[in-house]
Amino acid sequence: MSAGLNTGSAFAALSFSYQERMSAAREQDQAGVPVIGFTSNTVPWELIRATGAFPVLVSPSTLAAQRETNRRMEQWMEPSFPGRIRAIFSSLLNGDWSFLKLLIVPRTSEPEYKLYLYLREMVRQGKGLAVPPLYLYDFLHTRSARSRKYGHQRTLELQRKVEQIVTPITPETFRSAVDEANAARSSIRRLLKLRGPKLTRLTGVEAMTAIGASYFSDRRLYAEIAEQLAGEVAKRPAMPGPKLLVTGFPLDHPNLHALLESHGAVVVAEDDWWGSRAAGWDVRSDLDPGTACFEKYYLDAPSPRVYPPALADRWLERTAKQNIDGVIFYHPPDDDVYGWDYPRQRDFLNVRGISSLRIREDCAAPTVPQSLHDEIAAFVKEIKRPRV
Amino acid sequence: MALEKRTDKQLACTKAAAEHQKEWFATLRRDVFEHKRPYAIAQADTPLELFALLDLPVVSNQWWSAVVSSRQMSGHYLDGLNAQGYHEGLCRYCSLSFASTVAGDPALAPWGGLPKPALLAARLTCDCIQRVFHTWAAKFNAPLVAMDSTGATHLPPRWWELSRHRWPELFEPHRLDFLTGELKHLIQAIQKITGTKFEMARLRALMENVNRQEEYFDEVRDLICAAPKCPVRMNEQVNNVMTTQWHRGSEWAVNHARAFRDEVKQRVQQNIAAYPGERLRLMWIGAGLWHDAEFYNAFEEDYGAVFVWSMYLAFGPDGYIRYGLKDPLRALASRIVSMNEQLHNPPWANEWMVEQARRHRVDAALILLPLGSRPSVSGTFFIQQALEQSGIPTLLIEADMVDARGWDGAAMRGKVRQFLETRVAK
Ligand code: SF4
Ligand code: SF4
Repeated sequence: MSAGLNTGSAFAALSFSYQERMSAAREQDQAGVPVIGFTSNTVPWELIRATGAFPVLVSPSTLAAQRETNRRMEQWMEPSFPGRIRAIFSSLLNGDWSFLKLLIVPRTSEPEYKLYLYLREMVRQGKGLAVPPLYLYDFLHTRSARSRKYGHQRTLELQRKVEQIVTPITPETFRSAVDEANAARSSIRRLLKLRGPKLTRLTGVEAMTAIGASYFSDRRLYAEIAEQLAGEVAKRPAMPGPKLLVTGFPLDHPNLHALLESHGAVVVAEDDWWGSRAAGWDVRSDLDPGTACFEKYYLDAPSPRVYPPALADRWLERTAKQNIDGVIFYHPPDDDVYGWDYPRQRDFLNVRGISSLRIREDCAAPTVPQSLHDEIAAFVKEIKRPRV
Repeated sequence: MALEKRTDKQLACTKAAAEHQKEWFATLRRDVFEHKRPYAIAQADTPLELFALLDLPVVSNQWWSAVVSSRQMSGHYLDGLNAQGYHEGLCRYCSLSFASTVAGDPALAPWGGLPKPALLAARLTCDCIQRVFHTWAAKFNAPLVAMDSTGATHLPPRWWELSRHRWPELFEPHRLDFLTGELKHLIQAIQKITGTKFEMARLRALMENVNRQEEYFDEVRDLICAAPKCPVRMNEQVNNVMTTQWHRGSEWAVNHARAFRDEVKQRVQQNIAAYPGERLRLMWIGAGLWHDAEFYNAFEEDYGAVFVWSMYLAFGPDGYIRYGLKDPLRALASRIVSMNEQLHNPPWANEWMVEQARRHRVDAALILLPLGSRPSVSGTFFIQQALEQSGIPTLLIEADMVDARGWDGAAMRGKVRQFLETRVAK
């Protein structure tokens, strides 16, 4: 991100970080700061940061690169894995991330657990020389006292691991890391307010880009730039167009939003850790580090494994009722999980008179079929009509 | 496992197993409808032992899925599920039984269909199963016990050398602690329904019976490995083993396993081969192709190719036997805690398959690639590469274990023939 600071507006800086996802991590590494990678939103950022390391989400930089690397690794990872996981797998084997001191993979989805096992196996077979040291953060998402205890213990173990690799956490370093992360959260929340269902001044594409950048950035700097962006955006006039909420398969790209917005709608929220659900609540700094992080991530971080569904649905149900004009269910060919939630969630919306559209095409692809354009156009037209 | 249709049964045991299962299910239905007796539906990798111990009959989801599939009803049910809005990219193996419930047509369903259970239980291995079971439980208006599934980080490659005696060190203690806690929760849920009191001593005795049963399977496996020609077809191995596993540890199961061992032994002593013209020995990797059981006999005549191995028999002794039953509940937890890693994931699945291929003198392996039940695809390429590196030619069979839609049996047989001719035939 530091490279982007001087490039112009705040949005340009965030956009740079979002697209050049390794950039800040590489800079930190070159400056002698230990860098620790993680693969999902459920890994406690603060625990890593409090050791003095730079935490970064391991995520392929561009979609074109994803497809290229995927092809090379086809002999190891079956086509049944989602593109994001395949891309992470191949970029790790290619040595893109060999500078990481540790890669933390949470058991927050089955493909991620298997990613961990596959990487270990490649190392065992002597084919993963460039793979950084691996760590499985065996974090469960069922809401039972047993899972809570298990996750808490694993979080304390994670804390010991990162302390061992970098330096022990002190109350001061933890408070500083929490302040840094909470400042970023607060600026994300400010951006989210600017795209509320009542008054929208930020496009969905901008929001996805600006929020997503936080996973790859120095969060203190991020908070400053995001605040700056919020200040700029607050002066804009409100945007027209029906307001959409997107749910379903997580989006590590803004292409679906771009597609929807090209038809005159504006995406104001997404049930997704890459968008509206990135920040959530603040982490407490008055508890011990492991406990504070565990509480936040266990109770507030979205994961496909959150159970029971009443909890998993809560955010969607609450948000959909706030003047949303329509809901998009995104179930691309990579999806074999969220589709199970569809009939239940669709029925919830139907009962409340909220229209929805399901998209099955892969919108990460450079082009989508004309029929999808037509379908979206018809949907947007339909929801523009005032509700009876 | 419900493969009796159109495949000839060479063993008396196979017939007995099929009859037993049919009768058992009819009794279960009668008990449920006439005597209001409760029963449960559970995933195959749950501790069925606890249900038996606490007097709650249990139907395994995968068994029912295989039954439905072998009756060629999967297309009908899965189409129905898709019509409700569940898209075609969702996992089919574990959802086919649910689909049969959604259809709600007991007159059409095999053996009258699944009645309403008192309880459903699943281990949350993949991310979809919590959804399948939750939706299913809601449909039945029955409670669900969802047991979470931890991840393994200690994975010594030759796990089968440790699993019988040294299981406490094979699986991480915190994982065993956690799963033992989940099992206690399940016990409470079952007790609430049946009122039967849980007794550790009875569980120990049941676990010892399971050991006996699996020891018989171990002997059968040894017999198959040592005999000049395979004495029992894979289909019949699966039928006998799985029917027994669904009732594992019961008196009937132990007796049936012994009778199976005796019959196979007798065949070996009398030099009886399943297919006397055997020239090639094949391995089947993955779940059974439940909708086309004849596939497994299709290459005997032309190539002398006999399927001698599937995971079902071999996993009995290697995956289930637990010696040292001081804490039988923990031993039971150890039996299921890493089933998925053992059967699907590297390094455990690939190392095991290679070892099994060698022991069984296998000439080639056919590997199921069930893209319609996606998470169960994992590990396939590692298995394939490991076998190829050990000199065993492999062929991927892209098909679903239960969904016959899109299955072109003739084309796939052609593909296998070509594979046998170009890469295997002696
Ligand atoms: S992945 Fe395996 S356990 Fe999960 S639903 Fe599919 S077949 Fe069942
Ligand atoms: S995931 Fe594999 S082991 Fe589990 S039920 Fe499905 S086929 Fe069986």
